Amino acid sequence: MMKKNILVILISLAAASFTSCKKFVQEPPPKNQLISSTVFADSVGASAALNGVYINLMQNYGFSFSNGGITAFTGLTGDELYESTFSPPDEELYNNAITISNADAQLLWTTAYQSIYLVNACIAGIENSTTISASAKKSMTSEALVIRSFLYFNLVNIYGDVPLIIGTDYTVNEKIGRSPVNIVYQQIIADLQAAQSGLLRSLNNNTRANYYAATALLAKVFLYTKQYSNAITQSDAILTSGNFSLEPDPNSVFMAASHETIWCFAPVIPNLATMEGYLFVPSSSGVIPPYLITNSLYGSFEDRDLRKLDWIGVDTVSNQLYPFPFKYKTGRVSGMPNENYVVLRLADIYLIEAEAKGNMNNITGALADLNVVRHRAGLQNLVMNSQSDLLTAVNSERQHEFFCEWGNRWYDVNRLNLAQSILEIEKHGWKSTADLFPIPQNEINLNPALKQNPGY
Amino acid sequence: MKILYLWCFLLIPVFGFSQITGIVHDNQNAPLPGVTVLIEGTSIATTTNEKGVFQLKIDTRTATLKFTSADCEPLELYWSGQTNLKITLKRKINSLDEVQVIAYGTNTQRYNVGSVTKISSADIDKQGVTNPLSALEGMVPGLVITPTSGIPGSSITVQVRGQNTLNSAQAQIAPLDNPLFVIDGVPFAPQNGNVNQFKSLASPGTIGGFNNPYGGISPFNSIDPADIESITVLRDADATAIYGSRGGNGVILITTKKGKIGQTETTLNVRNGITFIGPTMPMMNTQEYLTARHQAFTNDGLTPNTTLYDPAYAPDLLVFDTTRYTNWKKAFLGNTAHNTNATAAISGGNENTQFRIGTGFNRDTYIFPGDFADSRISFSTSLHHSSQDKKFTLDFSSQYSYDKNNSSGSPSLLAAFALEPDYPSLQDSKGNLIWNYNGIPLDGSGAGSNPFAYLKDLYSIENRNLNGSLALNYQILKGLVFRTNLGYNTFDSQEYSAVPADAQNPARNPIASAKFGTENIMTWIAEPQLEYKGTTSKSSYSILVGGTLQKQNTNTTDVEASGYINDALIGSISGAPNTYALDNFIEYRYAALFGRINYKLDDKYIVDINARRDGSSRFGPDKEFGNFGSVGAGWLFNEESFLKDNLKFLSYGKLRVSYGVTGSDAIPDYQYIPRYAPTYYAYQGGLGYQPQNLYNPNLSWATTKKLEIGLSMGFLHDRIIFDGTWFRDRTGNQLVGYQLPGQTGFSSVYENMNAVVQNQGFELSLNATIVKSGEFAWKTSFNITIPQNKLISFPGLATSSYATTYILGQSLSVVKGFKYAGVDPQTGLFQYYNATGQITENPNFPSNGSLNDFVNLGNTDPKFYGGFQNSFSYKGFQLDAYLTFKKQLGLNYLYSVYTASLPGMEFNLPVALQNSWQTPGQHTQIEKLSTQYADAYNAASNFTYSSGVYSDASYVRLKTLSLSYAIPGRYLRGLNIKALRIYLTGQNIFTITDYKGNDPETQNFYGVPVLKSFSLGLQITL
Repeated sequence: MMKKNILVILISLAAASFTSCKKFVQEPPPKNQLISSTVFADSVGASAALNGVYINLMQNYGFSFSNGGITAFTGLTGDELYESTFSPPDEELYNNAITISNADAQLLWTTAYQSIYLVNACIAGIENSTTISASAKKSMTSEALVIRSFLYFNLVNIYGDVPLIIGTDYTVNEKIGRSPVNIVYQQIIADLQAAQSGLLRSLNNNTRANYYAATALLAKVFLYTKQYSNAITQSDAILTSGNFSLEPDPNSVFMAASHETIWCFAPVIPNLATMEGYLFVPSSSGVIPPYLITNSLYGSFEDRDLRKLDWIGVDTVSNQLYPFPFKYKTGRVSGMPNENYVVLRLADIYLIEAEAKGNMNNITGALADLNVVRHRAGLQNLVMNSQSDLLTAVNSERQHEFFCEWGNRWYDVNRLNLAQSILEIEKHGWKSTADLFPIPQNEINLNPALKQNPGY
Repeated sequence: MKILYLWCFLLIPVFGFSQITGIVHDNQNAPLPGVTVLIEGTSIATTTNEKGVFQLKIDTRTATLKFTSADCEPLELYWSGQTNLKITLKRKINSLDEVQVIAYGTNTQRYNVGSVTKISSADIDKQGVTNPLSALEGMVPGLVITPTSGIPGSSITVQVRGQNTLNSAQAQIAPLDNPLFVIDGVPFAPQNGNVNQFKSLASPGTIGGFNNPYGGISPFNSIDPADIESITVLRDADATAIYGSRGGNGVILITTKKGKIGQTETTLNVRNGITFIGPTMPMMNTQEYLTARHQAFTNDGLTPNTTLYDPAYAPDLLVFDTTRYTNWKKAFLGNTAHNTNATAAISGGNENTQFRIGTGFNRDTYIFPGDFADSRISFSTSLHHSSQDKKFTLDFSSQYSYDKNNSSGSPSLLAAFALEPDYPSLQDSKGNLIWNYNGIPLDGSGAGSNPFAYLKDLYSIENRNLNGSLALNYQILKGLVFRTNLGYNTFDSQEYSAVPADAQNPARNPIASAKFGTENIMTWIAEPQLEYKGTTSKSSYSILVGGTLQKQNTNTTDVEASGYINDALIGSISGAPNTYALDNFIEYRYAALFGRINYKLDDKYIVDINARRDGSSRFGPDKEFGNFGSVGAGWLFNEESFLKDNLKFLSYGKLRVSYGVTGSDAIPDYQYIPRYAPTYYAYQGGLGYQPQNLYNPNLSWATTKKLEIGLSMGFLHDRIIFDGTWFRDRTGNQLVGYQLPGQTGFSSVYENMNAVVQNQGFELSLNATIVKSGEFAWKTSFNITIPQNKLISFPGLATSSYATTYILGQSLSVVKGFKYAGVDPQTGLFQYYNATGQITENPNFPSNGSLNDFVNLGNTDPKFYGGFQNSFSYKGFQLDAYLTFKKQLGLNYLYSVYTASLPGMEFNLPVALQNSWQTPGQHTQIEKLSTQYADAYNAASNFTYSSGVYSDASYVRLKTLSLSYAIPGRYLRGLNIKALRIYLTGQNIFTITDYKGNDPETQNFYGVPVLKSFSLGLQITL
C-alpha cells in the first residue's frame, strides 16, 4: 500500500515540475543580436542594415570581391601584374593555369555572393516591413539594387554565366543553375532603371549608391552589351549634370574629395586605407613590392604620360627597378582615410561615350571625349579619321587610364575579343578558354545544377 | 599496531630457534585454506590447511612473512617473535563484481544489461599520459580515440561506435559526434570541443598541405589523470537512454578519486622523462635536392637563371651557397622535449567521514626550438560524510586546474622543415631575422616566409577549470532515498596571439598586432531524484524518478589590437592605437524528467526500463521537447541449474538485449531564429546590422535507435571472461549543418534531414589470467571492434548538395575521386582511368550532378580496431605492455606534398620523390618534377583527387610499456614508508605499419606525429 502511495507522489511531483520546465527552456536571442523583424521595424534599423551591406563590401582584411580582389586577380590573369611573393593561387592566375580549387577564384565567388545575400536580405526585409514609409522603402531599395547590379556586372565578366540570385529563400537559391550572361544583363538593366526612378537626382554622398552611380553603371552595361545609343544617352546625363569634373592632377583622382568620383566605397577598418593601397604599396622605397607592373604595360605608356609618373611607383632594389600600382598612395592611415575606393569615375564616362560614338562612326565626337582624358594625362590631342584606328586608340586609352582598376583591362580585352592576339604573346601559358575563371569545384559539388566552364 | 607488536614481543621468550604459528581468515572471518606463507629472502614456505592454520620453523628472531593466495590480496607482515598470529586477508573482488559507475547510480558488470566498460585508475596511471582521453586509446571496444597531433595539449578526437551524423563542413571533414562527458555527475562545460579561438601549432587546419581538420587545444588537458578513479564508457540504449537527447553518441563518465576508510595515507609520485620525434620520412640533402631541381628544369626544357621572377629563376641553384647543408627537420623538429610530472595526495577517514586532497604539476615542453611548453597545476578535494544513523550522506568533490600552453601562433612553422637544404642563414648572431641574401628576398620560399619569424609569433592559452559537485542523500523511509546532485563547472580560457613587428619582413608594411581572447563556459546543473529500492523473497527492484535543470552560458570576447609603436608593448591592449572588440553570448538551457525501473528476479532475470522527456533551448516554440527511452533485459543463464550442474567450467554466463531511442541536440544555439548583429565597423560614421544566419524554425531532435545483443561468459572461476556484442545504431531525422553552395550567401544552414545512417558492428573482448603460479602472474586482455557504417536512406540525395558526397549503401566516409593509373611513360604525367576504363591525363570532375570520372575509392572508416594489453608480475616487478591496432585507409604523404606545392619548385622534398619520372619510356609512380605552372602542375592538381593519395594506414603500436619495481617492505621499515615503487614508462615505442608517410594515426606530413617518450618515476606511499 505504501509503495503505491510513493508511486502516486512521484508521478504527481513529476507532472507539477513539468510545466515550469517548459518555460525554462524558452530563451531570448543573445544579448548582442537582434531578430530580423526588429531590424526592419523602422527606417533607422533598415538603413543600418543597408550600412551593413557597405561595411560588408569593405570589411575583409585582405582582398575580397569588392575590395581589391578583382583588380589584383584579373591583373594577374591579364597582362598587368605579376607577383614577387610565392603564393600558389596567385601563381596559378598569373600562369593562366587556374585549378578548380583555386583559393582566389573561390574567394571572389564567396565574397560576391555573401554581399548579394546581404543586399537581397535588405530588399526583402524592407519590402516585408509594414512600418517603413513608401518613399523610404523606394529609395533604400533602389540603393540596394545598384549595389547588386554592380556585383553581377563584375561576376558575369569574370565567370560568364552565373546563378542569378535575387531572393533570400535558401531552399530555392541553393538549386539555381547558371543564367546566361544576357539574362543577367537584362536583370541588371531592369534593376538600374528601377533604381534611377527611385533615387533623387542629386549628389549628396558619393560613398553611397546614388542616381549617378546607377546611370554610370547603366552606361557601362549598355556599352558592354553594344547598345551604343543608350550608352551615349546615359553618359550624357552624367556629363551634363554639372556635378562632376576631371581632377587636373592625376594624384588627386582617388582622393576622398575628388570631383571626378561618381561612386566610391569608404574604407571601414580603422587605420587601414583601401586594400589596394595597403597591399600594393611597399612600406619603403628600398624593398621589392609584392605585386609588380609587367614590362609590357610599363613600356606601353607614352613618354610624357602623367599617369605613368603619378600612378605607377618604382622601387629600386640592387639597381633593379620594380614598378608597382600606385593609384592609391596609402596603406595605413591615422584618423580618417583621405582616399576612398573609387568604383566609377568621370574619365570612364568620357571613354564609354568615346567608344560608343566611335562604334556609331561619330569620329569627331569620339575624339573630343577621348582627348579630354588625354589632356588630363598631359598628352597631346589625337587626330584621326579611321574608325578602327579610333577604336584602337580608345582601347589603348582605357588600358592606360584604367590599368589595375576593377578589372577594366581584363574585361576590355575579353569583350573586344583581343585576348587571343594580346595575351597569346604576353602569357606563355595562355589558352583560349582562360578568358573565364573556373566555377569553384566546391560550388559544383554542392549544387548539382552548376556546370563548369570549358577548359577546366 | 606498533604497540601490539611490542606487547607480543615482550611475551616471547628469546631463544635461537623459533616457531611461527597462526591462522588466516578472510574479511568475513572464514578460514582461508591454501594460502602460501613465505619467509621473504628464504625458501622457507608452507601453505595453510583446511582450517587456515599454518606453522613454520625459523632460525632468526625477526622475519618478513608474505601471504599470497589466488583469491585474496597479498599481505606482508613483519614478524619479531609473536606466536598464534591472526591474519586477515582481504578477499579479491571478482572483476565482475567491481562497482561500475553508471547513469545516476552504480552497478556491476555481473548484473548490468547495458554496454558499459570501465577503465580504472591503475590502467590510467600506468600509461603516464598528460591528457586522460589518451589513456582510453585501445582500451574500450567501440571507442575510437585519435590524437590530432603530437603537440603538447593538442586535442584528441573521441567517437563512440562510428559517425552518426552527415558531414556539415567540407567534403572530407565530418562533424565529430562527440559523446557526452560527465565528471562526477556534472556535464563538463566545454565537452570535447577545442577551447582555442586563435590558430597555433596545435591547429593548422587543412589549407596548404596540412591535414589536421580537428586540431586545437583540448579541454581535457585541464584534468589531471592522477585525480581520476575511473572512466566509464556507456554505449548502448540501456546505458545511455536516461541521458535522453544527449546520449545518442554515447556517454563517458569520469569519476574522481575519493578518500577511503583507514589510516591517513600520503602518496607522492614524481616522474621525469624525455620526448622526441620518432622515425619520419627523410628529406633530401643538398646534393639530392640540387639534382632534383636540375632535373625539374631539364624536364621543363628551361635553363635556370638569376632574373628575379622569371619562370626559370632559381636562386637556390645559382645564388645560394650550394655547398651548404642544413637539416631543417633536425633544426625545427629534432629537439628533445621534457616531461615533468609530480603529484601528491593525502587521504583517509573514519566510518563517517572520508577525505582526499590531491595536487599535481605537469610540464611538457615542445620539440621545437624556443621556450614552448604546456604546464598544468591542479588541485582536487573530495569529502564524504554520513550521519551517525547513516540516513544522511553528503559527497562533495571539486577540482581546480590552471593550464598554460605557450607556443607559436603560426602553424606554418610545422612546414618549415621543407625549406631548401642550401638556404642561407636566416638569423644573425644577435637573433635578428635576415630577410635577404645578396639582394635575394628570403621570404618567398616554399615555407612562405622566414620560418624563424614564426618562432617569434607569440601564442599562449591559459585555461582555468573549476568543477564542483555536491550529492546529498537522505533516506526518508527504509528503501526510499531522496537525492539531489548539484553541480557547477566553469571553464575559462584566456588566449593571446601576437605578431611583433620584428617578426615581419620590413618590406611588407609590418604592423605589430595582437589578439586577446577570452572564453568562459559556465554550466550549472540540479538533479533532484527519488529512488525506491525493494526486495521480496525472490526478487529485488529499484525505481528511480528524477529531473534535470541545466543552464550553460558561453561568453567569448576577442579584442584585436594593432599598430604598436614598440614591440615591447605588445602584451597590452592599451599600448595599441587601433583596437576593435568582438563579443558573443550563448545561453543553452535544458530541462528533463527521467525515470528508471530495474527488476531482478532470482538473480537470474533482469529487466531495465528507462524513460526521459527532454527539453532543449536549441529548438523553437513547440519543438523543444522530445521523448526517449529504452528497454533492456538480461538472463544470467549460468545460474540455471541445468547448466550449473552440467557445465562446471562455465562460471558466468549472461545474455542481454537492449533497444531504445536516444537523441541529439548537438547543433549551435539560436539556429531557429533569424538573427542580425551590429557590425563592429562603421560606414561613414554609421553602424550597421548584418544577418548572422539562415534560420530554420522547424528544427527538432535527431534520434538514434539503438539495438544491441550481448553475450558474456566466464570460465574457470571467471579466470577467463569473454564478452561479445552485436550492435546496430540507426540515426534518423539527422540534425546537420546542411551544406549550401556559396551562392546562397552562407555555407550551411541547420536542418533535420530525412536521411538514416546506420552503424553496426561486433565488439569482442577477452580478459584472462593466463598464468598464476606462485609469485608469477600473466594477465592479458584483448578487445577488437569490427564496425560498419552505412548510409541506408536519403530521399532526394541526387538533387541535394550531398549528391556528389555520398553514395547510398556506403559509409559516410566514402572517398570519391579518380582512379589513379600510374605515370605515362612517354609524357611523365600522372594518369587516371576515366568512367569507361580508358586511361587519360585529363579526367573530368563531377559537374552538373554527375560524378563523371569520379569513382568510389573506398572509405576511411576503420575496418577493425582494438587493443591488446599484457601484464606480467613477478615478486615486486611488474611489466605492462599495451598495444593498439587499427586497420584503415588514409591520406598518405603525397597528399600533403602535392597540396602544399608542386614538387620541383623551390622547396625540399622527401627522399622518396627521387623516384620521379625522368626519361621517356620510364615506368614510375611519381610524375616528372617541374618548376612550372603547366602540364605537370595540372596533373598534380588532379592527383590530389585520386586514389594515388590514399594508401593503407593500418598500424600496430606499442602505446605503453611500463616496468615497475616495488621495493620490498623490509627495506622501508625504518624509513616510515609504506610502499615505494620505481617505474620506467615508455610511450609509442614502436609502430608496425606499411603507411606511406610519417604517422598512420595523425596522417599529417606537415605536422608533428605522436611522439615517443621515456620517463622514469618514483611513487612513495607514506
